[in-house]
Amino acid sequence: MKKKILPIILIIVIIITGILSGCTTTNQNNSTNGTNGENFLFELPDSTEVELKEYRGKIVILDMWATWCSPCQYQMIELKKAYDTYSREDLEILSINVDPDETNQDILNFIELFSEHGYNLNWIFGNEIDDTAKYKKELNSGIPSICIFDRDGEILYKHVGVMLYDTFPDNWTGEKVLLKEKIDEYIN
Amino acid sequence: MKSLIKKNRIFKQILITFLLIGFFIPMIAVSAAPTVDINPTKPKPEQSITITVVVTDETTDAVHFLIQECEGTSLCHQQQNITLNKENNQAYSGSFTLEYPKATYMQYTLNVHTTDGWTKYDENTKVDLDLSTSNENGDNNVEDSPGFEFIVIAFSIIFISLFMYKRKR
Repeated sequence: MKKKILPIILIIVIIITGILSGCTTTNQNNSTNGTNGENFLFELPDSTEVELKEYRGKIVILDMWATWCSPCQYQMIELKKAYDTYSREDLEILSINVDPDETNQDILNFIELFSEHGYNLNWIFGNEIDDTAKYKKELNSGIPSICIFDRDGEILYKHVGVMLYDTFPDNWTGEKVLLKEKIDEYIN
Repeated sequence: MKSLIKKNRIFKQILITFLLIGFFIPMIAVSAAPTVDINPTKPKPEQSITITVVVTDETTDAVHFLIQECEGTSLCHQQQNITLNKENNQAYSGSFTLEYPKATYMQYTLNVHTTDGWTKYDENTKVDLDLSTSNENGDNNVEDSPGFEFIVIAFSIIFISLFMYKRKR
Protein backbone atom coordinates (compact mmCIF):
# COMPACT_ATOMS: atom_id res chain seq x y z
CA MET A 1 0.00 0.00 0.00
CA LYS A 2 2.76 2.37 0.99
CA LYS A 3 4.65 1.55 -2.20
CA LYS A 4 1.63 2.60 -4.29
CA ILE A 5 0.99 5.84 -2.39
CA LEU A 6 4.56 7.19 -2.51
CA PRO A 7 4.78 7.44 -6.33
CA ILE A 8 1.40 9.15 -6.43
CA ILE A 9 2.52 11.72 -3.86
CA LEU A 10 5.72 12.23 -5.77
CA ILE A 11 3.82 12.87 -9.02
CA ILE A 12 1.52 15.38 -7.29
CA VAL A 13 4.51 17.25 -5.83
CA ILE A 14 6.16 17.39 -9.26
CA ILE A 15 2.98 18.72 -10.86
CA ILE A 16 2.51 21.42 -8.19
CA THR A 17 6.14 22.45 -8.46
CA GLY A 18 5.80 22.71 -12.22
CA ILE A 19 2.71 24.92 -11.95
CA LEU A 20 4.31 27.26 -9.43
CA SER A 21 7.52 27.64 -11.43
CA GLY A 22 5.46 28.36 -14.55
CA CYS A 23 3.66 31.25 -12.78
CA THR A 24 6.98 32.69 -11.63
CA THR A 25 8.39 32.52 -15.15
CA THR A 26 5.28 34.31 -16.52
CA ASN A 27 5.67 37.22 -14.06
CA GLN A 28 9.30 37.65 -15.00
CA ASN A 29 8.41 37.72 -18.66
CA ASN A 30 5.84 40.51 -18.04
CA SER A 31 8.35 42.80 -16.40
CA THR A 32 10.98 42.12 -19.06
CA ASN A 33 8.57 42.94 -21.88
CA GLY A 34 7.38 46.16 -20.09
CA THR A 35 3.70 45.20 -20.17
CA ASN A 36 3.40 46.81 -16.73
CA GLY A 37 3.83 50.21 -18.33
CA GLU A 38 1.06 52.75 -18.97
CA ASN A 39 -1.37 52.34 -21.80
CA PHE A 40 -4.23 54.22 -23.38
CA LEU A 41 -6.23 54.12 -26.56
CA PHE A 42 -6.56 56.90 -29.10
CA GLU A 43 -7.84 57.35 -32.64
CA LEU A 44 -5.84 58.51 -35.63
CA PRO A 45 -7.45 61.00 -38.05
CA ASP A 46 -8.25 58.09 -40.38
CA SER A 47 -10.24 56.51 -37.49
CA THR A 48 -7.67 53.78 -36.83
CA GLU A 49 -7.44 52.97 -33.13
CA VAL A 50 -3.94 52.90 -31.66
CA GLU A 51 -2.51 52.20 -28.22
CA LEU A 52 0.43 53.76 -26.39
CA LYS A 53 2.00 50.33 -25.88
CA GLU A 54 2.62 50.06 -29.61
CA TYR A 55 5.43 52.55 -29.06
CA ARG A 56 7.36 50.54 -26.46
CA GLY A 57 11.09 50.81 -26.96
CA LYS A 58 10.90 54.57 -27.61
CA ILE A 59 10.71 57.64 -25.43
CA VAL A 60 7.17 58.92 -26.01
CA ILE A 61 6.04 62.51 -25.53
CA LEU A 62 2.30 62.74 -24.99
CA ASP A 63 1.10 66.21 -25.91
CA MET A 64 -2.48 67.02 -24.86
CA TRP A 65 -3.99 69.89 -26.82
CA ALA A 66 -7.00 71.38 -28.60
CA THR A 67 -7.29 73.49 -31.76
CA TRP A 68 -8.69 76.52 -29.93
CA CYS A 69 -5.79 76.68 -27.49
CA SER A 70 -3.26 79.33 -28.58
CA PRO A 71 -0.50 78.14 -26.20
CA CYS A 72 -0.96 74.66 -27.71
CA GLN A 73 -0.07 76.11 -31.09
CA TYR A 74 3.08 77.55 -29.59
CA GLN A 75 3.84 74.12 -28.16
CA MET A 76 3.58 72.54 -31.63
CA ILE A 77 6.45 74.72 -32.84
CA GLU A 78 8.60 73.58 -29.91
CA LEU A 79 7.68 69.93 -30.47
CA LYS A 80 8.68 70.28 -34.10
CA LYS A 81 12.18 71.20 -32.99
CA ALA A 82 12.35 68.05 -30.86
CA TYR A 83 10.93 65.82 -33.57
CA ASP A 84 13.47 67.00 -36.11
CA THR A 85 16.38 66.45 -33.71
CA TYR A 86 15.97 62.87 -32.53
CA SER A 87 15.70 59.64 -34.50
CA ARG A 88 12.43 57.75 -34.80
CA GLU A 89 14.05 54.82 -33.01
CA ASP A 90 14.52 56.96 -29.92
CA LEU A 91 11.60 59.36 -29.82
CA GLU A 92 7.97 59.51 -30.80
CA ILE A 93 5.45 62.29 -30.22
CA LEU A 94 1.73 61.73 -29.80
CA SER A 95 -0.35 64.90 -29.98
CA ILE A 96 -3.75 63.86 -28.65
CA ASN A 97 -6.67 66.25 -28.88
CA VAL A 98 -8.53 66.21 -25.56
CA ASP A 99 -11.59 68.24 -26.59
CA PRO A 100 -14.45 65.76 -27.10
CA ASP A 101 -16.26 68.24 -29.37
CA GLU A 102 -13.43 68.32 -31.90
CA THR A 103 -13.38 65.90 -34.81
CA ASN A 104 -10.72 64.21 -36.89
CA GLN A 105 -11.40 66.80 -39.57
CA ASP A 106 -10.65 69.60 -37.08
CA ILE A 107 -7.28 67.98 -36.46
CA LEU A 108 -6.55 67.66 -40.18
CA ASN A 109 -7.53 71.31 -40.73
CA PHE A 110 -5.20 72.31 -37.92
CA ILE A 111 -2.29 70.40 -39.43
CA GLU A 112 -3.06 71.89 -42.83
CA LEU A 113 -3.07 75.40 -41.38
CA PHE A 114 0.39 74.88 -39.91
CA SER A 115 1.59 73.45 -43.19
CA GLU A 116 0.48 76.60 -44.99
CA HIS A 117 2.68 78.55 -42.60
CA GLY A 118 5.71 76.37 -43.24
CA TYR A 119 5.46 73.98 -40.29
CA ASN A 120 5.17 70.32 -41.20
CA LEU A 121 3.62 68.67 -38.15
CA ASN A 122 4.66 65.21 -39.25
CA TRP A 123 4.31 63.24 -36.02
CA ILE A 124 1.35 61.29 -34.74
CA PHE A 125 -1.89 63.13 -34.15
CA GLY A 126 -5.04 61.68 -32.73
CA ASN A 127 -8.26 62.08 -30.85
CA GLU A 128 -8.70 60.97 -27.27
CA ILE A 129 -10.68 57.79 -26.72
CA ASP A 130 -9.98 56.84 -23.15
CA ASP A 131 -7.46 57.14 -20.34
CA THR A 132 -5.55 60.15 -21.69
CA ALA A 133 -8.15 62.06 -19.72
CA LYS A 134 -6.72 60.73 -16.49
CA TYR A 135 -3.43 62.45 -17.28
CA LYS A 136 -5.26 65.63 -18.12
CA LYS A 137 -7.09 65.60 -14.79
CA GLU A 138 -3.90 64.98 -12.90
CA LEU A 139 -2.48 68.02 -14.61
CA ASN A 140 -5.25 70.37 -13.40
CA SER A 141 -7.13 70.42 -16.67
CA GLY A 142 -4.75 72.86 -18.31
CA ILE A 143 -3.46 72.45 -21.83
CA PRO A 144 -1.02 72.07 -23.41
CA SER A 145 0.14 69.32 -21.09
CA ILE A 146 3.12 67.09 -21.63
CA CYS A 147 3.72 63.59 -20.28
CA ILE A 148 6.96 61.78 -21.07
CA PHE A 149 7.07 57.98 -21.00
CA ASP A 150 10.18 55.83 -20.97
CA ARG A 151 10.87 52.94 -23.34
CA ASP A 152 8.84 50.61 -21.13
CA GLY A 153 5.84 52.91 -20.98
CA GLU A 154 6.48 54.12 -17.45
CA ILE A 155 5.64 57.76 -16.91
CA LEU A 156 8.76 59.80 -16.20
CA TYR A 157 7.66 63.41 -16.26
CA LYS A 158 4.54 65.58 -16.32
CA HIS A 159 4.28 69.24 -17.18
CA VAL A 160 1.37 71.68 -17.43
CA GLY A 161 1.67 74.59 -19.84
CA VAL A 162 4.00 75.29 -22.73
CA MET A 163 7.32 73.47 -22.51
CA LEU A 164 10.03 75.14 -24.56
CA TYR A 165 12.52 73.04 -26.46
CA ASP A 166 15.97 74.54 -25.89
CA THR A 167 15.75 78.30 -25.28
CA PHE A 168 13.93 80.65 -22.94
CA PRO A 169 12.90 84.02 -24.43
CA ASP A 170 13.83 87.08 -22.35
CA ASN A 171 10.28 87.69 -21.13
CA TRP A 172 9.56 84.07 -20.22
CA THR A 173 7.65 83.84 -16.96
CA GLY A 174 6.80 80.14 -17.09
CA GLU A 175 8.55 77.24 -15.44
CA LYS A 176 12.20 77.03 -16.48
CA VAL A 177 12.42 73.45 -17.63
CA LEU A 178 13.54 72.65 -21.17
CA LEU A 179 12.18 69.78 -23.22
CA LYS A 180 15.61 69.07 -24.72
CA GLU A 181 17.16 68.54 -21.29
CA LYS A 182 14.47 66.07 -20.32
CA ILE A 183 14.64 64.13 -23.57
CA ASP A 184 18.45 63.90 -23.43
CA GLU A 185 18.26 62.71 -19.85
CA TYR A 186 15.75 59.97 -20.64
CA ILE A 187 17.24 58.85 -23.93
CA ASN A 188 20.68 58.44 -22.40
CA MET B 1 -35.44 123.24 -70.16
CA LYS B 2 -38.24 121.13 -68.75
CA SER B 3 -36.51 117.99 -69.86
CA LEU B 4 -33.34 119.11 -68.12
CA ILE B 5 -35.22 119.70 -64.85
CA LYS B 6 -36.91 116.36 -65.24
CA LYS B 7 -33.57 114.59 -65.83
CA ASN B 8 -32.15 116.31 -62.79
CA ARG B 9 -35.03 115.13 -60.62
CA ILE B 10 -34.70 111.57 -61.91
CA PHE B 11 -30.99 111.67 -61.25
CA LYS B 12 -31.62 112.89 -57.69
CA GLN B 13 -34.17 110.17 -57.09
CA ILE B 14 -31.80 107.50 -58.35
CA LEU B 15 -29.03 108.89 -56.18
CA ILE B 16 -31.24 108.97 -53.08
CA THR B 17 -32.44 105.42 -53.78
CA PHE B 18 -28.87 104.11 -54.02
CA LEU B 19 -27.89 105.95 -50.87
CA LEU B 20 -30.80 104.44 -48.96
CA ILE B 21 -30.03 100.97 -50.24
CA GLY B 22 -26.38 101.42 -49.32
CA PHE B 23 -27.42 102.55 -45.86
CA PHE B 24 -29.82 99.71 -45.11
CA ILE B 25 -28.03 96.73 -46.70
CA PRO B 26 -25.23 96.62 -44.10
CA MET B 27 -27.85 96.71 -41.34
CA ILE B 28 -29.61 93.70 -42.85
CA ALA B 29 -26.36 91.79 -43.44
CA VAL B 30 -25.06 92.43 -39.93
CA SER B 31 -28.29 91.68 -38.13
CA ALA B 32 -28.28 88.06 -39.44
CA ALA B 33 -25.53 87.15 -36.97
CA PRO B 34 -26.30 87.13 -33.26
CA THR B 35 -24.84 89.88 -31.13
CA VAL B 36 -22.99 89.13 -27.92
CA ASP B 37 -22.78 91.41 -24.94
CA ILE B 38 -20.53 90.60 -22.00
CA ASN B 39 -20.86 92.57 -18.81
CA PRO B 40 -18.44 93.80 -17.68
CA THR B 41 -16.80 94.22 -21.08
CA LYS B 42 -13.38 93.72 -19.54
CA PRO B 43 -13.83 91.48 -16.53
CA LYS B 44 -11.26 90.75 -13.91
CA PRO B 45 -10.03 87.22 -13.16
CA GLU B 46 -12.48 85.32 -10.93
CA GLN B 47 -15.17 87.92 -11.56
CA SER B 48 -18.77 87.06 -12.41
CA ILE B 49 -19.87 87.96 -15.90
CA THR B 50 -23.29 88.21 -17.50
CA ILE B 51 -23.65 87.10 -21.08
CA THR B 52 -26.50 88.34 -23.24
CA VAL B 53 -27.01 87.14 -26.79
CA VAL B 54 -29.53 88.66 -29.17
CA VAL B 55 -30.52 86.41 -32.04
CA THR B 56 -32.38 87.32 -35.19
CA ASP B 57 -33.35 83.84 -36.38
CA GLU B 58 -36.83 83.19 -35.02
CA THR B 59 -36.30 79.42 -35.18
CA THR B 60 -33.56 79.62 -32.52
CA ASP B 61 -34.29 77.24 -29.69
CA ALA B 62 -30.95 76.94 -27.87
CA VAL B 63 -27.85 79.07 -27.36
CA HIS B 64 -24.62 77.79 -25.87
CA PHE B 65 -21.65 79.89 -24.86
CA LEU B 66 -18.30 78.07 -24.91
CA ILE B 67 -15.62 79.76 -22.88
CA GLN B 68 -11.98 79.06 -22.10
CA GLU B 69 -9.72 80.95 -19.74
CA CYS B 70 -6.08 81.19 -20.72
CA GLU B 71 -2.91 82.32 -18.99
CA GLY B 72 -0.89 84.30 -21.51
CA THR B 73 1.16 82.11 -23.80
CA SER B 74 1.46 79.43 -21.15
CA LEU B 75 -1.74 77.43 -21.09
CA CYS B 76 -5.50 77.35 -21.45
CA HIS B 77 -7.94 75.75 -19.07
CA GLN B 78 -10.76 73.37 -19.76
CA GLN B 79 -13.48 74.68 -22.02
CA GLN B 80 -16.76 75.43 -20.23
CA ASN B 81 -20.11 75.09 -21.97
CA ILE B 82 -22.73 77.50 -20.63
CA THR B 83 -26.36 77.04 -21.64
CA LEU B 84 -28.02 80.44 -21.87
CA ASN B 85 -31.61 80.94 -20.74
CA LYS B 86 -34.25 82.36 -23.04
CA GLU B 87 -35.36 85.78 -21.85
CA ASN B 88 -37.69 86.61 -24.73
CA ASN B 89 -38.07 85.77 -28.42
CA GLN B 90 -34.72 87.27 -29.26
CA ALA B 91 -32.57 87.42 -26.13
CA TYR B 92 -30.75 84.71 -24.27
CA SER B 93 -28.70 85.32 -21.16
CA GLY B 94 -26.67 83.60 -18.51
CA SER B 95 -23.96 84.21 -15.97
CA PHE B 96 -20.60 82.65 -15.27
CA THR B 97 -17.90 83.16 -12.70
CA LEU B 98 -14.39 83.11 -14.07
CA GLU B 99 -12.39 80.50 -12.20
CA TYR B 100 -8.68 81.03 -12.63
CA PRO B 101 -6.84 83.82 -10.79
CA LYS B 102 -3.89 83.74 -13.20
CA ALA B 103 -5.98 84.00 -16.37
CA THR B 104 -5.02 86.91 -18.61
CA TYR B 105 -7.67 86.49 -21.28
CA MET B 106 -10.73 84.48 -22.09
CA GLN B 107 -11.99 83.36 -25.45
CA TYR B 108 -15.47 82.33 -26.43
CA THR B 109 -17.46 80.72 -29.19
CA LEU B 110 -21.19 81.05 -29.66
CA ASN B 111 -23.21 77.97 -30.61
CA VAL B 112 -26.75 78.64 -31.80
CA HIS B 113 -29.30 75.95 -32.56
CA THR B 114 -32.05 76.56 -35.09
CA THR B 115 -34.07 74.39 -37.44
CA ASP B 116 -30.93 74.24 -39.57
CA GLY B 117 -28.95 72.69 -36.73
CA TRP B 118 -26.00 74.07 -34.76
CA THR B 119 -24.07 77.05 -36.10
CA LYS B 120 -20.93 78.53 -34.59
CA TYR B 121 -20.39 82.27 -34.41
CA ASP B 122 -17.54 84.41 -33.17
CA GLU B 123 -15.24 81.40 -32.99
CA ASN B 124 -12.48 81.83 -30.43
CA THR B 125 -13.15 85.54 -29.92
CA LYS B 126 -10.58 86.81 -27.46
CA VAL B 127 -11.43 89.08 -24.53
CA ASP B 128 -8.55 90.48 -22.52
CA LEU B 129 -9.12 90.49 -18.79
CA ASP B 130 -8.60 93.50 -16.59
CA LEU B 131 -5.38 92.75 -14.74
CA SER B 132 -5.10 96.08 -12.96
CA THR B 133 -4.59 95.64 -9.23
CA SER B 134 -7.45 97.71 -7.84
CA ASN B 135 -8.72 97.30 -4.25
CA GLU B 136 -12.27 96.65 -3.14
CA ASN B 137 -15.43 98.18 -4.67
CA GLY B 138 -15.22 101.79 -3.45
CA ASP B 139 -11.64 102.38 -4.43
CA ASN B 140 -12.33 102.34 -8.14
CA ASN B 141 -14.57 105.33 -7.65
CA VAL B 142 -11.87 107.04 -5.62
CA GLU B 143 -9.43 106.50 -8.51
CA ASP B 144 -11.88 108.06 -10.98
CA SER B 145 -13.04 111.09 -8.97
CA PRO B 146 -9.82 113.19 -8.82
CA GLY B 147 -10.22 113.91 -12.50
CA PHE B 148 -13.76 115.15 -12.10
CA GLU B 149 -12.83 117.19 -9.04
CA PHE B 150 -10.13 119.05 -10.90
CA ILE B 151 -12.55 119.98 -13.68
CA VAL B 152 -15.05 121.39 -11.18
CA ILE B 153 -12.31 123.32 -9.37
CA ALA B 154 -10.93 124.71 -12.65
CA PHE B 155 -14.33 125.94 -13.80
CA SER B 156 -15.00 127.44 -10.37
CA ILE B 157 -11.73 129.37 -10.49
CA ILE B 158 -12.50 130.63 -13.99
CA PHE B 159 -16.01 131.78 -13.10
CA ILE B 160 -14.96 133.39 -9.84
CA SER B 161 -12.11 135.18 -11.61
CA LEU B 162 -14.47 136.45 -14.30
CA PHE B 163 -16.95 137.58 -11.66
CA MET B 164 -14.28 139.42 -9.70
CA TYR B 165 -12.91 141.02 -12.87
CA LYS B 166 -16.36 142.28 -13.86
CA ARG B 167 -17.00 143.61 -10.40
CA LYS B 168 -13.76 145.57 -10.47
CA ARG B 169 -14.82 147.14 -13.72
